[in-house]
Amino acid sequence: MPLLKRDGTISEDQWTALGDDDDVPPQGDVIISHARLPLDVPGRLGIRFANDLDVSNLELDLSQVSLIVLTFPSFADGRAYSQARALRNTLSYDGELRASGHLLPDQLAFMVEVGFDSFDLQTDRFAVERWTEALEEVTLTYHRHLSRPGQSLIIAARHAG
Amino acid sequence: MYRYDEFDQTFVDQRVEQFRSQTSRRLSGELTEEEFKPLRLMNGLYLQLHGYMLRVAIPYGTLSAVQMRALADISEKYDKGYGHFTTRQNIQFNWPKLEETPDLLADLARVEMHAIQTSGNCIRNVTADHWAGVAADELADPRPVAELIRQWSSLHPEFSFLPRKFKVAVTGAPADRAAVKLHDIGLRLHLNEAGERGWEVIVGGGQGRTPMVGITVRDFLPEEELLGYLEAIMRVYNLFGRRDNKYKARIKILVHETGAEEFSRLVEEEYARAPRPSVEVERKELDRISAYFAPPAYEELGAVEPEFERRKLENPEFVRWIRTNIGAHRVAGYGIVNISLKPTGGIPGDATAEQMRTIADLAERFSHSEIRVSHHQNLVLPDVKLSNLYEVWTVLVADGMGEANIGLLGDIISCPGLDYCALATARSIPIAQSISRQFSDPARLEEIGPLRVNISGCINACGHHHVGHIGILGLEKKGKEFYQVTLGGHSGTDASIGGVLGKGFSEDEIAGAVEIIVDTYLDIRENDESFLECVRRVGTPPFKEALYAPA
Repeated sequence: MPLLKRDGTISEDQWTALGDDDDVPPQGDVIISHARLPLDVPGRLGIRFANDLDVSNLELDLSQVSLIVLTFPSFADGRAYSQARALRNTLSYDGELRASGHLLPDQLAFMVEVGFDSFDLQTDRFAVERWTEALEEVTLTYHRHLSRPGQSLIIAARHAG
Repeated sequence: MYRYDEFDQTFVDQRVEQFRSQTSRRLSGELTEEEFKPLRLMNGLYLQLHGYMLRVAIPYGTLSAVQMRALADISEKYDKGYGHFTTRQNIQFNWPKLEETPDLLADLARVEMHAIQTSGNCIRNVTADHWAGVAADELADPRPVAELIRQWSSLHPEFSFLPRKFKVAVTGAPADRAAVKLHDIGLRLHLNEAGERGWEVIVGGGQGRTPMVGITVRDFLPEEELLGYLEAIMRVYNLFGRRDNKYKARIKILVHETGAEEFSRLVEEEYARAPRPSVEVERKELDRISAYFAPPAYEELGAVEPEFERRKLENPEFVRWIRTNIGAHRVAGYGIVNISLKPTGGIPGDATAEQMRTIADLAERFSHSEIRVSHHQNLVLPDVKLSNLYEVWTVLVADGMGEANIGLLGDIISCPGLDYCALATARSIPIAQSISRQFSDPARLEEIGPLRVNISGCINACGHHHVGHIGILGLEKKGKEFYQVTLGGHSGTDASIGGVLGKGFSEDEIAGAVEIIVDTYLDIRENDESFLECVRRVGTPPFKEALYAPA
């Protein structure tokens, strides 16, 4: 499946996503569901969180985690936006944060702004340009601590100098 | 009032172009209707019974004469020459075409207006006391904070796909004219013992299927902490609010099912977790916004204006209008003019393009070019000199807006109902019209005194029937519309939800039923007791007896 990065580039996914009954392969980077922890893996560790998981109260050492996948069962279910913010802001997670599920180009900007880095595109319904254009549509934000590269913080611009 | 700077303007302009792209992708079929729906709703575009409806945001109910004139032009260019002012201080156009809405939004942007987040499961247009800044009883103008919240909530990346819609109301006065206890979040400004300003934060009020009065989660929140604290509430709601049933998805259900104490604990816990610097509102930004709301240069006038007194002696109709429609202004020699959009037999909240232009002219000549929309679906000229009231009244009367019924039985609040709305189960406008005809005598209305009638055409309660002193809910059974009546609702400081009287009434019976309720009240009231006070004293039995007892 194609993987979109927050800078608009598309690449092949190097991670192997395991189902809950799949065996751990002898090598490589794997993504497992949160329910399988603790588990020894050969390469880097990626974890998939269900979107009803209370991430703020996890007893988990995130410094050992290289990738977290948050899920959007429907584009209209916005819980993962708040999970992303909790991971970035209050848990100071600085590894890769990936969105997976029913994603729309029109939501991409919001996702980057709350801290997602990569997007698991499970569809080829939209042209690549559509995804990249969507990041350019609104170049300003009112939010003090949420923005994406290239976006101007209105609050900073207003009170500059 | 607030004016866009270059950043606000660019933001709204870009948003219009973004919607233009979304609309063309819907028209080309790239986006499914299911996917387009939340995108168009975030720009205020509904699909109704007969076509699209566009709801335009009037932030905290304040607009300029220039903006009002633009709304009049838009109503003629894209609609049928009228608009409908809503119970959330917005205006709706009922007949725009999908392919034309991007142009309509561009016309709005030219006068610093938009339709961002007037619908959808996001933070809606923030509402405020319609007398903000001029009310005699106010501690401070709540609109700077409302504007701060407008900007903060615009395209909020974390809170644009909530379980359900989210409404915020603010007031800066002890007398609650903004129904803050009946919103998802209500904010009430007050002073602590040291005389410092802070906000009471009320969460989980609302109407709809499950009417509830909100709970106070913080009695006194310093202003600098406001946005951070709101984010904590929103995050708890976004993560834990129900998504399995849209009728149980509002924050009031989360508050109710979690329990007030536990909910407050969750919010405080989330708030404590957030890094401190990220939660502060910059003083300089609040000061920048506040400067736009600085009071205009009022003249020093006496409390008695000879010209005004002379007109009153000459004209009893004028005196009646003064009694019912003028609010107490904080500056001597000025009055707050409340313009009734409830003529006898009319459609509550509707105004024609001509009427909008008349109001714009009056605002320019007599009210510092400023107009307010009230959640009672009326308009307000906030700053009129008493000596100008007679001329204002004369112009209003000539244009069908001179009704002397503010706060009285003729001032009926009604949703659009089955005449327009896809959700409605019954018509509500014709009910409002028939009751209004039944109670058209202004002398009788004054004799009855303060009495709010609210009509909703379905249980979603857009006509706020739960808080009507007399609430009317339109329902449908086996293809026939009928109307359930509640008594004793109220949306003020001592907010309460009305109680159902009993069996419903048919369309033909409902005005007669209101007549019986009113007669019963006149019969049993003690001294100067208002209708609401009377219902609170005696309960529903005397009214049930009068309505349902066999003759």
